[in-house]
Amino acid sequence: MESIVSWLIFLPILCGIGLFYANIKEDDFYRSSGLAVSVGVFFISLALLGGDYEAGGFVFVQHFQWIPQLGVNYLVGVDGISLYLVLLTTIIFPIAFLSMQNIVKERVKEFVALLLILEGGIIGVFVSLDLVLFYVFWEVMLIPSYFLIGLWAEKDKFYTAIKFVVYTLVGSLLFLVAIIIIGVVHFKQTGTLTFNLIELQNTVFGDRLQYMLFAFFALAFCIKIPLFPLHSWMPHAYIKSSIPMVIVLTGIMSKTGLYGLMRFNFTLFPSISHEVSGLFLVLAMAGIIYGAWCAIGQDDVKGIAAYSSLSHLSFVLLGMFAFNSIGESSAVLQMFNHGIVSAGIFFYVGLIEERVGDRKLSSVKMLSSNAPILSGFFFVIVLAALGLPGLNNFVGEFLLLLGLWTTEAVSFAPMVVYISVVAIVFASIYMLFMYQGLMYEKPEGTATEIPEIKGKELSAIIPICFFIIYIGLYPASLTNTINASTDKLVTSIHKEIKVSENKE
Amino acid sequence: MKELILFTLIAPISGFMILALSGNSFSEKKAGLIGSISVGIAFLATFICLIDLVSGSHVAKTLTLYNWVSVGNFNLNVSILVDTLSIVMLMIINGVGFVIHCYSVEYMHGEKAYSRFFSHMNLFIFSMNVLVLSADFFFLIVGWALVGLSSYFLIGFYTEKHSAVLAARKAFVMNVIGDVGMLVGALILFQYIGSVTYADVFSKAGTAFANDNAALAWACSLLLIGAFAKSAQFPLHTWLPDAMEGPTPVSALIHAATMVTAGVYLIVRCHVIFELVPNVMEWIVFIGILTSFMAATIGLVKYDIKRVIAYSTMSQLGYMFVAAGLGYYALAIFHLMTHAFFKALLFLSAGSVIHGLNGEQDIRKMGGLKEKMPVTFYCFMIGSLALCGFPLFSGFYSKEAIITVSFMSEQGGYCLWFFAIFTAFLTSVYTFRNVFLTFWGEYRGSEKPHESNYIILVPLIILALLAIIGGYWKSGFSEFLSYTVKVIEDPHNTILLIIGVIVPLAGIYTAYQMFVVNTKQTEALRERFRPLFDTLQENYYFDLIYDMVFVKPVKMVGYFLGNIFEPKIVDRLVDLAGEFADFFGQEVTMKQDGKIRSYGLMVFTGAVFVVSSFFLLFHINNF
Repeated sequence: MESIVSWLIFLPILCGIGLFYANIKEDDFYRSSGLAVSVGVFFISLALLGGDYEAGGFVFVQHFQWIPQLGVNYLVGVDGISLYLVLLTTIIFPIAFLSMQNIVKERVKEFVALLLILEGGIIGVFVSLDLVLFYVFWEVMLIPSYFLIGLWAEKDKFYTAIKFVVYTLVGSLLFLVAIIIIGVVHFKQTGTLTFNLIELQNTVFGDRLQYMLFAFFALAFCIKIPLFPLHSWMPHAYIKSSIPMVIVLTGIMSKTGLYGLMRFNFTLFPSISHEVSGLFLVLAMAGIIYGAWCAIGQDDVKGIAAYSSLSHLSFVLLGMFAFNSIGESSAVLQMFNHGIVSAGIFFYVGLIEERVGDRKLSSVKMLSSNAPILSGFFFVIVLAALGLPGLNNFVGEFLLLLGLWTTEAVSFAPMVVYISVVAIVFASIYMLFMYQGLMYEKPEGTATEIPEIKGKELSAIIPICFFIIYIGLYPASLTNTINASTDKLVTSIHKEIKVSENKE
Repeated sequence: MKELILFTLIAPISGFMILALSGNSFSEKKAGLIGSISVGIAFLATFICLIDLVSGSHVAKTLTLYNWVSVGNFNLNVSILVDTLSIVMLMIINGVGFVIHCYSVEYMHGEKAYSRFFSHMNLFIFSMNVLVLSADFFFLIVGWALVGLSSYFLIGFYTEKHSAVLAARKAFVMNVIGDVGMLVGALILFQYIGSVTYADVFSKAGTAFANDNAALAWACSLLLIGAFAKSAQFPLHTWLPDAMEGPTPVSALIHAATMVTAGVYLIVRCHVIFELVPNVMEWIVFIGILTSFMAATIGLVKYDIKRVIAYSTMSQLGYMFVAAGLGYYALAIFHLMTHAFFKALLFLSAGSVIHGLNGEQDIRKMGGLKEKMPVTFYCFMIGSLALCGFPLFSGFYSKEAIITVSFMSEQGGYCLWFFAIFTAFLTSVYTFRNVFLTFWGEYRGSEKPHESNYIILVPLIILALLAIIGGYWKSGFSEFLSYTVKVIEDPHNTILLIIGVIVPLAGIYTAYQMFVVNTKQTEALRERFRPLFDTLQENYYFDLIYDMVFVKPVKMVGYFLGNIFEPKIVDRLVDLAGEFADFFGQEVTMKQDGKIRSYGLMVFTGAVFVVSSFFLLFHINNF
């Protein structure tokens, strides 16, 4: 059982590498083998639910030396925070593979192989507890995604990819520097060279150095989320990438940034995180409004979905930087929710584009009555995205705002709430623009007859709708597992703040 | 026994699921049967619970189902509150709802999306039941939003009609504004009280907010935004007239009898906290009477038979807000009930007229239908008389009492009373304008009018009976409610009573003079006051102003940010920085090609940077 986490990482990576060397002509073979592997990984990942998360510590820990000379260990484990992110990954990838069935038509083998390697990398990111190991998986995640964005982009392939590359490379190089500095400083203080997150926790950094390290860590993560104003790679990458890649980008890779902030910045630099929470809250608020407002102005459906992602991801930060149990637990919950809902939205964008050959609101015309089941499920997802109370996204949003409202970290929290809730109103505007623009007839012109949803598509949509409704009805089933770990995190942050306050 | 109340939720939601998943494959008969029976079951369950409550001690029961969420100090159970107030609301919702479902079986005959209609009607009944059964503010908001959703579905039922789609969107967005207000209101309550359940909030609010009454006033005002949006009160009222784009049974059920009264329910339910902030209560009265008067004036000039009734709904809701704001909660709920009966009756009779005229809604193209549709005529007449507050009809008992209260209560006075009674006069005028133009005189239309069949007429007759006798149990009703809300005995004043009887009669007489006897003079009058007439016809230009002040700017800024600012300015700046770096990059890397070049460059510089910093670091101290 201990090795289950490693299975989750290396099974997809090895299968991906294996597929590169496969020599079969039919594209369908690669499509279905990709799907089969990702579904298999999903079933293996279910075993993680059997762990004991009550104590808030790490379970399924695997620990052995990797490069002893440099103090680098292979240390992986799962706690309440990473559990649902790993599960989200294993849920989203089969959906991405289902969405590629009719969309990706060229170089299918490479696409499937890279996507599988990407899955392994992302799971590795969520479970690594050693900084160097984390960095390795961070790169294992990034390199396939450069190619997945660039080679299969709709147009401006090079421009789209290079923008992503430059942004993320800047972030991850500074991140690497910071990791090394941390290791060195720890070595100087204790005499042991280690990159083990738990041992590094107690390292004391110089006053200015710790701000720099915090900034280097935060930069890499904030680009990935993306946090306003570091978002300008995102519209290109989201709008121009192929649908399966966008599903992965928004559904999971954006969460690696959020997760990184919570796991590394909050653990290693608790008092600074607390100190700069005002800045992050203001930027998050700006992103929430800016994204929502940009979404209202879009004609391209993919653009609406992309900017709405910017808005919704910034929402998660509101809870994270509230530094209380409500905020942190709901941040984790909302990461899961957003992954599910945004995957659903982009899945539908692909599905409609495939049927109509167009995704501009001004030119698509079709009637929902042609395909009641297709439009019905679509509307469930749209409603979740616009934050309908009773569905999963609203649960997260409500708890995030509740966490922020009751925070002691900043004094102007209510102001942030008042401005952010405007985005909920905006969300209902752009989401209805999108749904009505696609599914209802306009005054001029005739409607397109579209075929009803197919079995394979349903098998992606039904799980999404299940989670949307299930979490809306019973969020405790997730938060009860998350709580212990986030409580532990919050307690340690507040303990650290007290210590640093006493020093002053 | 109390578990039985769950059927009011299970039955309609199952009906919704079955009909929605069938995807229009059911026959009309089957869909109509499933849709109506599910509401019938909900009504039966409510009725049994009512008997149980009456025969027992009237004590409120809370049914806790499961722990919904528990994070930090926020702990919430899914629970259902059964008390006299929620049972009264359930009786109205499911009773009137059942009658309207039966009516719809025939009314919607021949529609392409017949089962979609019933599935959404069932969803509405479910949502409304969630709203009134909730035992805390969170699930109140959930029900609040779900009724908004079903209202959206049903306003936009005719998806091929563009105006209906736009009206649905308008209603939805305006109601989301209300939802957001309530959401923040709930946050404030939690901050001070540490819980969002009614029981905790109402029992602890007095002490928790003792030192910070302004915060409570603010929380209540935010809750009121939700109430105003849902009940179409000024300034969030403009969606209701447009909502008439939906089928007539929808207007009767959602936009007259039940959903729009949710705002009144909210105030009555939360009267404990509202009473702690008297200023807010004064605002409720002010907004109520303002909306009531304003809507009545607009009702005078509209030509669409349904829109006239819609404005009268707004106006009557204003009366309910006045009663609630003055502290007469039982009276507000009593008017809510009688209004549900006679307004549903009016809408359904109007629907019968529209049905008989194959979809014609313009009263200028009606007239003389008295003989052609006798049953519909009598029902419409009963509804109109009840609405005007004609003696012995149900509206008389509730509306007349509100007008008296507006004078006699502490916060009331001449001014409030004058507007209340003047609005009552206007109500009679426009209601009977509707009656006279539709049923008197010569037939002016082109369609061949015919009386509807019994499936439509039987519900009308049931509602007509309720509209007549619905006001007779006033004291028992107040006593029943007194187990849940504070009830003040209505004041009596003979002079006010006499005026209250005479004024509606005067209104009916005026309408008779204007629209039956002296139609020429009415025309002349209209021409003379053309600007005023146009202002009323355009609803005081609210739509125009909102469009200019809110809708257009939001869209324009959205267009600017999304299509000009982001790609042309933000992106360009980033690209410039990139080109700047690239310039140096070319100097360094000499001849390399295309994609690989930049990528390789980055990796190379990065590697140099990393390695050099690694070496440096061993030589620096913590700086």
